[in-house]
Amino acid sequence: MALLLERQGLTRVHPLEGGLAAWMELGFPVQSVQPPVVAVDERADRTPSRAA
Amino acid sequence: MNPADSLQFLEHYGVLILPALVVAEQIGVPLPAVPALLGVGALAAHGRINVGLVLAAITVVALAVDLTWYELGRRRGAVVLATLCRLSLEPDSCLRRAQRVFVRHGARGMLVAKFVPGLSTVMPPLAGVFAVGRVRFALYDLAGVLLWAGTWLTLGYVFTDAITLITARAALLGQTLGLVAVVTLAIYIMFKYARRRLFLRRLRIARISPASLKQRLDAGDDVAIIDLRTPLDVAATPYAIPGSRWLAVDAIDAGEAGRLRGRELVLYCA
Repeated sequence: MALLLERQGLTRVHPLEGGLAAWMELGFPVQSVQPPVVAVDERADRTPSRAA
Repeated sequence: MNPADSLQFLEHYGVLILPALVVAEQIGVPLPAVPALLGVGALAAHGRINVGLVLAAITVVALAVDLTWYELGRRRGAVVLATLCRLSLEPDSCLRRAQRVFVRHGARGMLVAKFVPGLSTVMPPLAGVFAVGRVRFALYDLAGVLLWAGTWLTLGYVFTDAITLITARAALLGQTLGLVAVVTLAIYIMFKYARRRLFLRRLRIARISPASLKQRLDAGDDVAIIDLRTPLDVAATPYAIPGSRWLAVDAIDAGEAGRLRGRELVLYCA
């Protein structure tokens, strides 16, 4: 993924160590997001939308 | 073994070789099941092999292996997927690609998964993780295996003359051809491996700790935070770092890249 960004000319890229899990483990703030509808059986290709 | 011998070998042991190649492919070992299927199809056109028996053997073995992966996915969850992807040549895109197919097509993705290297290994455990019904999974898997094996066997059957000619010509080159193929494959794998190592090294240097990011955000630094989780990951953990933007892999086109260029980006996954 980061490789893809780099190919698009985005060079100042920093991956977050440990991802969201590490951020949450440290008790840093998070916001709720509305999860995308993931229908396992039929169709689901929706972009998750951020909750306010 | 030269290609002409390979055809003879297939003629005698096809019913054992083919299922073995299919299993190898399903556990992530890149062995050439497709050329073998074409060979069996070509042999069948001359009545030299019982194609029904080979197809039945492939189906039984493939279903057994896929059902095992499915059950592992169902019981052990994402750990199985992570382990499988580590074996892949493209570990970073392996799971993401499979998830995309799964989200888009559901269990129906199983119909085409066998045609895509890497995907066929990941789809069964993924179906297990997302608790697709056992009967539904088995039916789609069965259809997928029959479609995949049937397609290549049929092509071999139809183009039997071309395949016999190719194997005869290749036999003239004998071991040289085999050596070239092995060396090419080895170079390809080494190149992929080296490129990945270099890239990961660069990323390791550039990565940022959660504490540093928090500090920078508190200080009001201009940092664009990009949430790169798949929709399935977001569904599993419906939280995000405040101010972050979720971006689908497919959404990063030239326009989007233009908007982000020049800014400092922090990427995060699950």
